[in-house]
Amino acid sequence: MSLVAIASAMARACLLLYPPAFRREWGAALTADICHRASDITGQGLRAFPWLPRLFASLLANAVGAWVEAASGLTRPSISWLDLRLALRMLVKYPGLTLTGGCGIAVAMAIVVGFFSMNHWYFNPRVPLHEGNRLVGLENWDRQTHREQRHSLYDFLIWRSELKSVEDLMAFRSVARNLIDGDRSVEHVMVAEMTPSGFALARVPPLTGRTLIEADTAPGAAPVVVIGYDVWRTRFGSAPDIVGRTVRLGGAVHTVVGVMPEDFAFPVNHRFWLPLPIDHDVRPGTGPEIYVSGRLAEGMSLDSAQAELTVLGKRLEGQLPGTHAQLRPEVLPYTYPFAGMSRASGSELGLMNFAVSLILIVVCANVAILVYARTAARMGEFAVRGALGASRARIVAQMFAESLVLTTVAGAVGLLVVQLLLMEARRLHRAPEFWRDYSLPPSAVLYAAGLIVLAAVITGVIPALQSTGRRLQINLIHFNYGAAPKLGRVWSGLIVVQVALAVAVVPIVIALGWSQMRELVTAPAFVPEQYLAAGLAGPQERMARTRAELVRRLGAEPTFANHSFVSELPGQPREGRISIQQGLSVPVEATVQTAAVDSSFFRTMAVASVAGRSFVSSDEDEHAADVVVVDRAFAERITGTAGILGRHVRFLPASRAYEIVGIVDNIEASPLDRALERPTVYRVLKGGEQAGREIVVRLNTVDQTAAATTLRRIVASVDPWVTVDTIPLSDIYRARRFLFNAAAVAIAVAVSCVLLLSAAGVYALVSFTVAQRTREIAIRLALGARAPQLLGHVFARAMRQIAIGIATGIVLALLLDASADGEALMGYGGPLLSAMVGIVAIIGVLAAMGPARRGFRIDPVAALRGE
Amino acid sequence: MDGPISLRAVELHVLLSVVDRPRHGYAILQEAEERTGGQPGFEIPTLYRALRRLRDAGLIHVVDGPAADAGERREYWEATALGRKTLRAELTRLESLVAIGRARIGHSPSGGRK
Repeated sequence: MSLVAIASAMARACLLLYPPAFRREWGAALTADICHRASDITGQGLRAFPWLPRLFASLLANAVGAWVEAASGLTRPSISWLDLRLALRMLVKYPGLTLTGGCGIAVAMAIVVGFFSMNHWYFNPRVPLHEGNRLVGLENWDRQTHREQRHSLYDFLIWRSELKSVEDLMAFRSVARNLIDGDRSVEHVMVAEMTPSGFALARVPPLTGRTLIEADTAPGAAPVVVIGYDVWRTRFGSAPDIVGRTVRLGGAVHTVVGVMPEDFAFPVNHRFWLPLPIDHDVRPGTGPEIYVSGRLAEGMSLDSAQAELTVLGKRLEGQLPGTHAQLRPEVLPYTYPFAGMSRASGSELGLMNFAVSLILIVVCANVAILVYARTAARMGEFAVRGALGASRARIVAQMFAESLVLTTVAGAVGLLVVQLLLMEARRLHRAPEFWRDYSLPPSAVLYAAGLIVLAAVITGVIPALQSTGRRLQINLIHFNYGAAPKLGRVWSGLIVVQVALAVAVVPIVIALGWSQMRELVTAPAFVPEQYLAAGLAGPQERMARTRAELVRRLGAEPTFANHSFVSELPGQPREGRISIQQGLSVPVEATVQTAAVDSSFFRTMAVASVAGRSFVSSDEDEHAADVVVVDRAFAERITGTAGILGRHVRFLPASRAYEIVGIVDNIEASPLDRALERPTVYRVLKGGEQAGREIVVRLNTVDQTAAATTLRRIVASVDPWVTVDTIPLSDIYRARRFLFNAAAVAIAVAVSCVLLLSAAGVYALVSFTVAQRTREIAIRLALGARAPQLLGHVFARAMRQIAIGIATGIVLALLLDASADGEALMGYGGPLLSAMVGIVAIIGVLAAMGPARRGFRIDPVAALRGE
Repeated sequence: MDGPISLRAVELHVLLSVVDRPRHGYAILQEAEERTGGQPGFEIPTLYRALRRLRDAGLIHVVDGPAADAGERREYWEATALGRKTLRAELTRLESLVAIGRARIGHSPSGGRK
């Protein structure tokens, strides 16, 4: 084999690695010159070695260089003001594309940036304290349950005395207290019981007086309190002699020793600070549930602190295997423990953001198809511009500018939506954490800017690259002959994919959305405005006595018609698994709502008995038989009403058998479909059971605020250490309605976007395919083709692509549904898929109709002249 | 062109070859070899990338080849007015560098070789 042949083969092979444009333009000349060179070397008797390897290296190195130049060459032409003006004009000229693409990108951008911002607040908030970023939380995590173990007073004492990498260690717990103002009012407040070191950690001096000191925590020390600025202003009228005055919190009167400055709400959202009593002889794993925080020592990082804590944890594990074998102590950013997050949570952040960002990319891909359709219509323009000297890079840059304007406008709208939602959240959040900042984080705006450019690249540059290049010259030829450019298989493929996605995705989005929403469409069978709900909190040992006394006092209060103690409030049900014996066969398991209620519940809620009996007071006796009452939905859907009484139910995973003694009416009804009513099993609260800490009270008055005040006053008078947090039952249902409305709006927007983008995509693609053939239609007419036959031919071709797309879409939807065990189409597959097929077919016909009609109107003579 | 550009060695060789008369690609390489004693420091693929860069920057353009070569389908390159101007600027830059270098070597403590 001659040197020329070897060099030629090498050049041809290596040229395959070059950018196609370079290969096309320079490949032949380059190969020819390499052959000349090889021939010269042979002719002059020079040795091929080392020329051949040098040539090979040069071919490879220049392949890389050519790609780099090709990539940078595209961005070299700058975007001028003229490009931007032209881009704005294009937005106005193609309002359909602007609105459709803009809406889609804006919604996707709002979702992606909203999610990013939310993650930022949870994972990376700025703690507005001196060196706030050095504040850390320390907590034990149970390796088996993956939950925090907060009974860590013993650990706190060890950590405080031994840790070198974390300083100013403090512990606190948040407790509810009755703020009692003589006989006038009782207010439910959250108090921070905190070690005095908490103030050293925050490094905020008091406005007046002093903060807590170690002496305040000594046994027998006088009870003191530090109050917040708001409390000082509203309750004490900003009295200058506040220090030394008293505040009654629960059963104890505390002397105010200091007032903290405005906006100070450390450690979370607190306005009252009491010394945390510390039992230095506490046993491991016992004591109150506390949060521990500290400050990274000078030169220490989160990782070095974690390393020290891990060593300490291992030692404790060895010394106390009974309590510490399962525990993993962690040093976390300060805010993590309050959001229930561990170190592992942080590492999932990037992945989650990427997953959500895919929404934007999917939307952008859809918009790119629309832009591609428009680009195809402008190929003649590009061809002429190319012929007049515009480089490919110049045309691509201009299209990038056009897309950038669209994505910037849409991105700005998306950011505005997020900002409005944030303002609403700020309004609704009454006691936010002190670090909570309801403004868009700068990183989110930067992220949005990056996404705007990415969206512009997807929607502008990719269609531009696809439709320029070698095609530009070919298109010029077509343009000269007056024919539309040929778009080939890519176009057909796009139509099929677009139709398939529309048919598959839209029904699934609607089905999932509707299945979520319809479950919220339930109405209470009672009038929520007549009820007050309340949660009791206080020392466990006092609760049984308090409850017994409360039953008596509430019964005597004329404001209240009835009351009942329950484990779950109406409107806030708990789901659980039960098994029920069905004759002699294997027990049936089912997911139902469960609640433990006292014997007066059905009377209080005015729920009628359907069969059997309701609960009676003797059922509450600890030694009484275990009985349950089920509702109508349970009887109808799970067991059948016949012979249900007397059967036995078990609460899973394991419980005693409870006999069904009665059926009551449903407490909530669904106006849409009775099948949506959730089956519920009520068991009776036995005397002294701790579960019944919620009270629901039927009122004799319409003034819920006054009733709440009365309830708080009664509870505080029975036991000042027991607090009661009240909420009108109507507020619970209002919150549910708000949730329903928000879900409805979100789903409607999502479905509209998907539908709009899909419809616009199918329309644009099909109409352009047919538009390519208008001249052909005219010529065929001129040559004697019959109009109906021709029309049928045109439609047949357009519809063939749509039919393939529909078939693919249906198969895709059914496959997705099957892989999700029917949870994708939720049983609505038939009607939804049929409707979507109908819509897509109509869009296809409409899209083909317009261009076809234009074809029939073209003067055949003019068409022939064009040929 | 917005301002003076500094040329790579291969680009300088191309401009030097095509500034007085049109040459095709291989001829440019051959001339560069002559100038450098057979060590131009680049191979044919590098030359073609340089040709593309110079063409895109408007420094060279394709012209008709000599009548004798009419049978061969080779592209002959010639410097444009901008190419000449750029070459002149580059040579001036190199001259000033050479002058500075000479002056420094001449005045260095070790004397250097002249």
